[in-house]
Amino acid sequence: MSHGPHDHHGHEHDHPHEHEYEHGHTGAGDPALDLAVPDAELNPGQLRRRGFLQAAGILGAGLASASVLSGSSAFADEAVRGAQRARRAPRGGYSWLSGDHHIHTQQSSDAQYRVVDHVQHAAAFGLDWMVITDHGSIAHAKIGVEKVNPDIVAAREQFGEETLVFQGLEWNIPAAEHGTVFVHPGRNEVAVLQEFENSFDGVVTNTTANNAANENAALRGLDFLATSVTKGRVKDAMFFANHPARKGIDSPHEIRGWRERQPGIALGMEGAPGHQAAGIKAPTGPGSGRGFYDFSPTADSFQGYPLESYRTWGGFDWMTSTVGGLWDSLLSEGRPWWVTANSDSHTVYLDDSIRPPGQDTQAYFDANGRYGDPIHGTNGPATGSGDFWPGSYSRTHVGSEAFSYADVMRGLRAGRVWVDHGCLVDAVDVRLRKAGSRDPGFPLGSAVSARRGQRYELVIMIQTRSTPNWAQFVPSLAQVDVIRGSVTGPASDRDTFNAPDTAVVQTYDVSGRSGLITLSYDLGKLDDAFYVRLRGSDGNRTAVGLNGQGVYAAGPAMDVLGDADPWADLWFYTNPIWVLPA
Amino acid sequence: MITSQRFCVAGGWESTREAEHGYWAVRYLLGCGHTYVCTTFEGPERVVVSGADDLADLAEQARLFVFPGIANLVGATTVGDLLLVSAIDEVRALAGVVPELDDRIDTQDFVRPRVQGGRLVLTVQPGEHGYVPFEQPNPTPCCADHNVRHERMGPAGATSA
Repeated sequence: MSHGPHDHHGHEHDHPHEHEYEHGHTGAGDPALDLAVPDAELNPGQLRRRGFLQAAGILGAGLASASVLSGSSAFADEAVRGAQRARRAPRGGYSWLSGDHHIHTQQSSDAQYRVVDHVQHAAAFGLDWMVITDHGSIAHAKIGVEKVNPDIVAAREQFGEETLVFQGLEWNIPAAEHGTVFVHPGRNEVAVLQEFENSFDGVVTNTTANNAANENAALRGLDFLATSVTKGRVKDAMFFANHPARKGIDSPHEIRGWRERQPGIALGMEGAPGHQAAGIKAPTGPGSGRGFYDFSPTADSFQGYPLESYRTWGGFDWMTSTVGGLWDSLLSEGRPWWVTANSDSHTVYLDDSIRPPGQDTQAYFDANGRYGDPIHGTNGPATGSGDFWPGSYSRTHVGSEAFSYADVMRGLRAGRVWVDHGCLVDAVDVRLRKAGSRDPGFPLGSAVSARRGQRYELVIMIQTRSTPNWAQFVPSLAQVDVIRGSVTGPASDRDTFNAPDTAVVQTYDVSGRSGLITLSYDLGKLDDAFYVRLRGSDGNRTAVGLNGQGVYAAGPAMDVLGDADPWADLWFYTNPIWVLPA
Repeated sequence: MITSQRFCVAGGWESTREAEHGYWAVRYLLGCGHTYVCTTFEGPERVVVSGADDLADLAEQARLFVFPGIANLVGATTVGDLLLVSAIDEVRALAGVVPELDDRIDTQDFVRPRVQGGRLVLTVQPGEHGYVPFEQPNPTPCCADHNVRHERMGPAGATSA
């Protein structure tokens, strides 16, 4: 295998295996949190915690702002985003740890596997980190959230050298869709998740309906998570919105509201939903919409969304796949909001295990908080199941400085993230630097304070796939798009989902190339603030952009209902880098 | 409210399908049988059923489940044939695609056009064999087993009445 310098696929974890568990916690009034108290006056424990919170971006100036811009006047300098965001990439590069933050077990009423079933598959498929996210429900809040923990702890013991296993849950966001909530491991992980679920889960608290009071309940839930961190109950916590456009119920103003309310907690959304096998043709597949995206507007939907938003495009959610669409409208405001890609694995396509008879009923689930362990079934492969095992199709790659829970969370928070499907490529590393310099440059997720008139370039390093993927073929990359948009500041309409200035500004035809592809894109002399992001594809299915030929000629095509082979339509997407005149 | 031309029922329904079933359950009590019957959204979790004898009396974006010719829309047909045998005025595909009259469309025995600009418009999307209506008869239930295969619904308007 000819891996790139920063590739992590071979699991060469030559970095320290930190397992940072917290020891003890303090309540409010903690001097570690009060930046008016100088470091010298803190005891070693307080100092350590302050350092951790600052490094994680939770404490300090960085994430006091929900924007890369400095509020009213001039655009931000690095201080606005906090030291970590505008830091140059380390000389040796990052370890790109691939993961999945959306996975269901037998503790979900619509799923069936043990924790270890998922973890050993994920480890075998090369995932470095994963989050167990069973549905918020009355049974889960009461029983499942506790019952799953020993299984997770056991999996950490058994697989922790290869795969980090976080405990989280899939939050029924009040007034909105589902979302991943997860915390750093520690002795309060269950207590915090359970209290969160009992107090703020939409199903548990009957707050799913779309109204202002429930929208506020969602914000209170984010407040709770932030406070759980600052109080030291857990070392870190974060939230990502899942399958955001599926039913049209995550309105643009709710997404903006989450990020603004707790910018250190509310970090992004699934750029691509799970259930990627759901569009495989019947009768050998589910024959549904890819991602199980087959809904129509409901009374709770944001009625401004077009019908196109209810379908996937090249496997990706419309909010992400549409250049100049909702995601870009957030980025063009200067709002950090990251995308991920996950399995949402419940029941795996063609798997032949089943729930055990007698322990497979809703009554059993409600009484026990889980179904019995799966057994070998006799019905043959489950052609109607639409999911993949974690790691076998959807991957979220996080630029990390070490193999640890804390470092994965830091990387996610910083937006040092790219995603792909079907192992389209082995590695993507993007740096922004002064044109022609040897500067290591700034990585994905950065908001770089820059000099007006200075010429900048984007250095793009892509390692093509060297070994077969989990469908036994070697994907080939055909095209790479550079997407650029102006940063225009906060939108007056908080429900806007358009960024008319954002477009594909360069498409590289890289078909036939293999190994390390290095591209240099000249961004010109800096005038006004802008951001750039990338995507690429196997070139198998393309279409003119939803916002017209001028935005892009060969973007993702809408997936065909009941006929979407996920392996024949592969994309990668990166998160953005902002360039802001100082 | 029931007038000679129009009626409107708000039954506390949360979904369009519930509202349709609710309508068929009370239809004879209402003593009405309008040419056009539709669902509209009047705020969160509030689906309202209303009917009229003239399409012009229905709200923009009203979603129709009773209209002339709906009973003819079963199985697979062509776009042109669908326009001939029903009151649907136009077929549009997502992303600005304009279907041809001889393009195949599988009705899935479930056709719910909407009022757009005073016309009855059916939005369609690409399916395995030609087009299918945008609104699916049995969308994947949320937080229910995702691997359950659903039977097709019968021709809703025609049989439940």
